[in-house]
Amino acid sequence: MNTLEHASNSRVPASVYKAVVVFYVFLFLALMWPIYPRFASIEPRVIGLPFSLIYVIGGLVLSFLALWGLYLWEEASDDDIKATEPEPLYQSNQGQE
Amino acid sequence: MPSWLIVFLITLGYLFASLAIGLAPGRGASKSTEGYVAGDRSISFILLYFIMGASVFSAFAFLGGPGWSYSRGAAAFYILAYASVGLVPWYFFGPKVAALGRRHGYVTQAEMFAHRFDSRAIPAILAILSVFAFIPYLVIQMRGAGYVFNVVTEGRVPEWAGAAIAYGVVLIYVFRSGVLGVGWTNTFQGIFMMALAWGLGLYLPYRLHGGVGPMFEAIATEMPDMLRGPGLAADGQPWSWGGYSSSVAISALGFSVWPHYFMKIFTARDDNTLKKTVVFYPTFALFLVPIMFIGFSGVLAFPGVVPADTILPTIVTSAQIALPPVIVGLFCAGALAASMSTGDAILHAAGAVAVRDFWGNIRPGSLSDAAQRRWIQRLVVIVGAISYALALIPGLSLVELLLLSYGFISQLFPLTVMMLLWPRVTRPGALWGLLTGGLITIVLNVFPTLAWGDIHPGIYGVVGNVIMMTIVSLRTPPMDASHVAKFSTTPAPHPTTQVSSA
Repeated sequence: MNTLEHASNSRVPASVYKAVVVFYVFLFLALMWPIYPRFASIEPRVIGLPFSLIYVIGGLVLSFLALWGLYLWEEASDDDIKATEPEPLYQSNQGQE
Repeated sequence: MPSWLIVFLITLGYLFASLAIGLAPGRGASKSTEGYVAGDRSISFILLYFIMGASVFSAFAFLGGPGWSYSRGAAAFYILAYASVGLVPWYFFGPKVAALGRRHGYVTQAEMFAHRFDSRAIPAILAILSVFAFIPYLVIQMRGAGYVFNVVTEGRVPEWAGAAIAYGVVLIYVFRSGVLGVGWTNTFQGIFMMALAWGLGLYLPYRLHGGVGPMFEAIATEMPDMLRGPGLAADGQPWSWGGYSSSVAISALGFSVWPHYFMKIFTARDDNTLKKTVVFYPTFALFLVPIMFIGFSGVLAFPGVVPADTILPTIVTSAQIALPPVIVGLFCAGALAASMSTGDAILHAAGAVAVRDFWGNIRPGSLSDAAQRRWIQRLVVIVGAISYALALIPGLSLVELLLLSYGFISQLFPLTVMMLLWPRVTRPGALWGLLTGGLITIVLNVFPTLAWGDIHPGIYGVVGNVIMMTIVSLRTPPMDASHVAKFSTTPAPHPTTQVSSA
């Protein structure tokens, strides 16, 4: 999986991409058996909603926040690249055909 | 003026607005096939966000979502579960796929597979599978539209005519404006549906139970099994965890590779547009929550509504709620929007896939770009007509077909991931994997007793697919290394990333 950071051409460390991928695999599994059944009860109710629903909404919100964080990080580090190097490097991979 | 007429006029007004918005951008795009199918690869974040988002709000979500929460309770949460992770793979493989598309001129998913595997059989098979998977989807959307018209006019407009009016409008703007027409109407329809979902989703529980909290309180007391995961099965008994979990899994895997979604990767203006769409996608899925509240609000107040999918129109038009006709009209327009915004993208994709992927591989090079565009437009009409004819057949069960098509489509997920991550995967490997996965899915659909547990047949298909693809690929000679390197997400390492990640 250490290939993923290249896909983005950014300076975000590879370990961050690995962590994000691991996080999503875990999130995906957490929404199913055998993890979700432990949290699929009615109580405790949060703002009136059953916990089985709050848990799933929580997954949705976490999914959004994690990827948004990664996006902002990439954006910030892309700006760094642009500031120091006028030509985006990955273009060197293109135009071979 | 009788109230049904007010409702009907608002619905018609809405249709005209959709038509006007859908036709406007047709002049902006180039006349090429790339312009028609991929919007000249220039679609902005807002437009792409709504194209992807509106496809969540299909007639299934708008009528089926409340239907599920009404009749099956917590089982409906599976939709939220898969929507929260389903599009995430795009974040990682989307930019690579888009770059390949720009370099090699793909506008459909199968074109990429064709090139990578140097195969004409693979895209042709995919095209057939996709069109077969699209049609039941489209039929459901059309029936939904017909039903809405019928209800709002108190039976004065029959369902066949309602479906014809709504899809007549869709055909006109898809025919004329291609993907840009789809994009702009979906933006309009999406904003409209969001407002409506929250409005009704909070108002109806308040009106019927005094609020969302008290509503769940009441259900928890009367029917606690409804609110505990995994909810109820179709027969009203508690659902199995195997059934719930495999529904989440198969939907999440299939989600990112449905051909009409996947090809939208090629429409994005740039990588940031694509990534931002994926990042913000869950915010769209969040709008399914109030939609589910609507279904829950009917559990105790309107027991015994059959079929369950009609619970939303039943509540909205009921005398007990006595909503003003203007609101009912807006609701009907929203339900139409839900149906149309999904149907338009599918119609558009079906035309493109049939012409580019099927015919383009059976008779390569036989159609000029202008002829392709013309044929895609004709196919849009033909697929629309076939689906309409099927929608008119009463009692034709589509649920089975839909399950089968989901099982098929999810076979594309391993192929996509393997193609991008594993340079060693070969043409025979891909082909055998697909065929094995498809065959397992069919057999287990026809003979459900062969499968262990209450698990979706597509899951077994995916497992068989991956095993077969791996074994056959390893036992066949590798493909040309410089060719496959173009497709791998492992390009020649570039200096900047090396330094920073070292």
